[in-house]
Amino acid sequence: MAAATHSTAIGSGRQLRALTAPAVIFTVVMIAFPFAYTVWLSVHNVAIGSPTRFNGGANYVALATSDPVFWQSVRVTLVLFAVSLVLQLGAGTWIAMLLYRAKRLPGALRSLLISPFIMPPVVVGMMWLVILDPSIGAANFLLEKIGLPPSLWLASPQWVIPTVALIDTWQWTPYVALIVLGGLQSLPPNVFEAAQIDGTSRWRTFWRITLPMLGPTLVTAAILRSVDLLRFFDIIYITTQGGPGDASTTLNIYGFRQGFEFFELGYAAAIMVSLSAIVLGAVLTMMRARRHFIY
Amino acid sequence: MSEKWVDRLSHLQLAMVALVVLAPVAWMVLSSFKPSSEVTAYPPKLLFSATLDNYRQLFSTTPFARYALNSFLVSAGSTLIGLLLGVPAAFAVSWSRITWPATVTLMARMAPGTLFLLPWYLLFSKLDLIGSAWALILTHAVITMPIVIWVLLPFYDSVPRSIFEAAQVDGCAPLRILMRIALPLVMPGLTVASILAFVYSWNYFQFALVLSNSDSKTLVAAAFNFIGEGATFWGALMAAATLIALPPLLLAFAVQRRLVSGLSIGAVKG
Amino acid sequence: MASISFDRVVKRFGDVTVVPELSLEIPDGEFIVFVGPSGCGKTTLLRMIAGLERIDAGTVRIGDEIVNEVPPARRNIAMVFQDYALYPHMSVRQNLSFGLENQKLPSAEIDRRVAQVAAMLQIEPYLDRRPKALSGGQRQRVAMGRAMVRQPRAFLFDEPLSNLDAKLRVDVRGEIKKLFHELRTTTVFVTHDQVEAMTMADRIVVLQKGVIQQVGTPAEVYNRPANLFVAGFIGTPTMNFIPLKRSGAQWRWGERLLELPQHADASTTGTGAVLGLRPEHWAVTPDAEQAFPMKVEITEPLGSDTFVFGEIEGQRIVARVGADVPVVPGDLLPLRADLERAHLFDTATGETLLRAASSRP
Repeated sequence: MAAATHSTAIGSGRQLRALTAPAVIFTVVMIAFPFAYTVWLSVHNVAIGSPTRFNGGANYVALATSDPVFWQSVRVTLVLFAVSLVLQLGAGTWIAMLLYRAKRLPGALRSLLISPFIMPPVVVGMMWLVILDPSIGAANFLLEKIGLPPSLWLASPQWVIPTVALIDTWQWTPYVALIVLGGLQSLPPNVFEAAQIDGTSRWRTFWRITLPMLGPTLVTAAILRSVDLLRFFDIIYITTQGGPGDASTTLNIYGFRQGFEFFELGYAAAIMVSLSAIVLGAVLTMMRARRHFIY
Repeated sequence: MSEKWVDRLSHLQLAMVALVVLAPVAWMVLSSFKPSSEVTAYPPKLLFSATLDNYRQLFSTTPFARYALNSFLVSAGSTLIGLLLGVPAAFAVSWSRITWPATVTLMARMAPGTLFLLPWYLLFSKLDLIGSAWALILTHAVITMPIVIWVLLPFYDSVPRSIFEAAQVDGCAPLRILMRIALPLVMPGLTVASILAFVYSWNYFQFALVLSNSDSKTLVAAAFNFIGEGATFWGALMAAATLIALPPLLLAFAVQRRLVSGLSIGAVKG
Repeated sequence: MASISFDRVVKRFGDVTVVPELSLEIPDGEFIVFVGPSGCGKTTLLRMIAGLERIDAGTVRIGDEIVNEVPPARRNIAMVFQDYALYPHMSVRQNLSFGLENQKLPSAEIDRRVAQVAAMLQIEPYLDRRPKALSGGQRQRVAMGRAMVRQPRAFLFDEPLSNLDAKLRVDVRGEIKKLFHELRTTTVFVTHDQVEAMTMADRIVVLQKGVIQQVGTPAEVYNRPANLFVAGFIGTPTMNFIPLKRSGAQWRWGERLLELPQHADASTTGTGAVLGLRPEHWAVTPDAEQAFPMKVEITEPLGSDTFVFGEIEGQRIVARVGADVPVVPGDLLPLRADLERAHLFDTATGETLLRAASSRP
């Protein structure tokens, strides 16, 4: 007889709850209360020197109607998110297939693969800043070598978003690859054996069997990456601070700037609440989508 | 195509991937050993005369050592708090119907850091704690606690419930069951959780930007200042980058096998 | 050492009532076995004694103490789990001493008890090994040792033999009985195997769907089953059940009229009753007139006896005959029924219609 998954013994409920008490207190003080406070801030005018005044949804209205930078940052966020996600899922799946074929993953390769996303994003930014320097960086050198014109990379208003997407892809594709690899390894081998016996080509097997069966895993990887991509901050702050101009200002950067450079705390709060809503919406949508893939 | 050729092609592609991953990192490390004039030389030089000048410059013109100490303090402190809070909480979640920590963990991971930073900034300035180690340690614990819970939960879940019940019948209260039975059995998970928590805390940038002062800045926050110093500082910048990346990388390499398998399994469970 | 009692105990899981008002007295020092098909509630009852399940109504007593709200750690009982639940990271010795450390006994006393129990169970050679280095049988003994070393008021066994192979099961059964006779501690033993129940119990509690069907000694439960369920559950091969139809003042099986056993009182039933006859109550008879001829389908020669499966009057019957009886499938075997040993059951209620000291608790 299998024991219940939760303790059914007399008196244990109370004692187990006590074990969560420190975490509860911490969560309330450091997470729940500040969260509520930010929401409260978002409906007030907050200025140093003058009293805080309740303003209803005025901040939100201002964001939506009279703030072009807000909409610019929404655009930047979503474009960056979409481009990065597609690149990472695609490249990640490709690499996962390679790793799957290789069967054994030597420790050295494994260490190499985790390096990009274990490194501090700040270091990644510093690293690429030097490589992508328009005048003396190695990237333009390589471009020149293969006959292409040099690029401004991070200094170009048109190319900064794709460049940042590339940097993030470099950093996080191995992560996606490892997750997809896990999904591949959990697929039942006899389905593929049946396909082989049926004479299915390798190409067809991938597109009609492997990829569909990887659906839930891919959505999981997408959810995990989306949560970080929509809140993009570190690399941009280190390399361009949102520039040139506002070309790479994501919502997170915009909110941070409003809060800690201009000290418009109420306005910044409204931006952050909006961003949280977007992230929540995206995650919930993807989780619902995943149910369609579970077979 | 025959099997052998497909295999060879795969290995070739993997080699290319490895190169793409390795090249920028290698470039950064190599540049840190280049004399300052060669770092900014164009066309970029592959061969150079190695020197420790950049490192010397880094340590002599910036309080790098102090920043490093701050980073260690904050990361170790927040990891410790994360463990103190998360280890019992994850155990309770695993063995009871308490599910709120899992939901909170999820939500904390979804909200942008700035959202909490605004009220924290107000709170800590009012308490005059801006620049204190505690401000950073406590806020970083908000990062580490969910990681500890998220990593440990499947480990606790894998212990058969009957072992806990046997300990109950044997006369143990849940705390003792946690300390004497559950914890020894999830030791590998504890190692991974600690290391992952430390790495995430070390890498976390935003909170230190706002809540620290020049004395208590962490390495990653201070790096921002290094960049502003201009192209002549680039050699030292690369040296700084190399050193800042070293602790997380070394720690992660130590547990890379478990880390990777945890990633793969976590994916399947979603 | 203590008695255990259930007084109108009710247990629900959500909307489902798995135990609807059960009462039972277990006297101090008794080896009682809960037996029944899976889902009958036997393990739930055991866990309620241990404190691992809450009690929705009624009281459970250990000794004189009502233990409804007492946590398992304070009940001073010991339990052997089906999967043994040994602490995998501790040596056998540590597994044995762990529970005693909780009681804060002096280490000299702990060592003494561990040594004593290890000797009794012959696990001394393994004291410093980890559970994963032990065989199933050895682990089972360590699990028992962990229970014994606590010197509890009562032992609770949750199907401890079901993970052992057949031969080992028989050996361990005997060892448990022997140990019990030495220790004389109240023991509640749960199993789905009626052979284990019959061989080990002082008394058996037959359960179905959370309701006690019968409580009695193995002999009582075997020879005087209180209802159809108990009669069919205890004894292997299963008792033969033959539906009878009333024919005036007599009963009829197909075309044959039967003389019912003297102590059967069928006056209260309607037109149907069920005759129960164990396989050993058939015998080969030379009297072709009286006999029920069986169309033999299968024979199972066991060496000491032979079980014969076949058809009598269109009904599937199993009979036990001597090993020296020459019988092959296809034969027509003349059998005589010992109706004096037969049972009679009410078709509607399943209750026994035999007049005699009732076996219900």
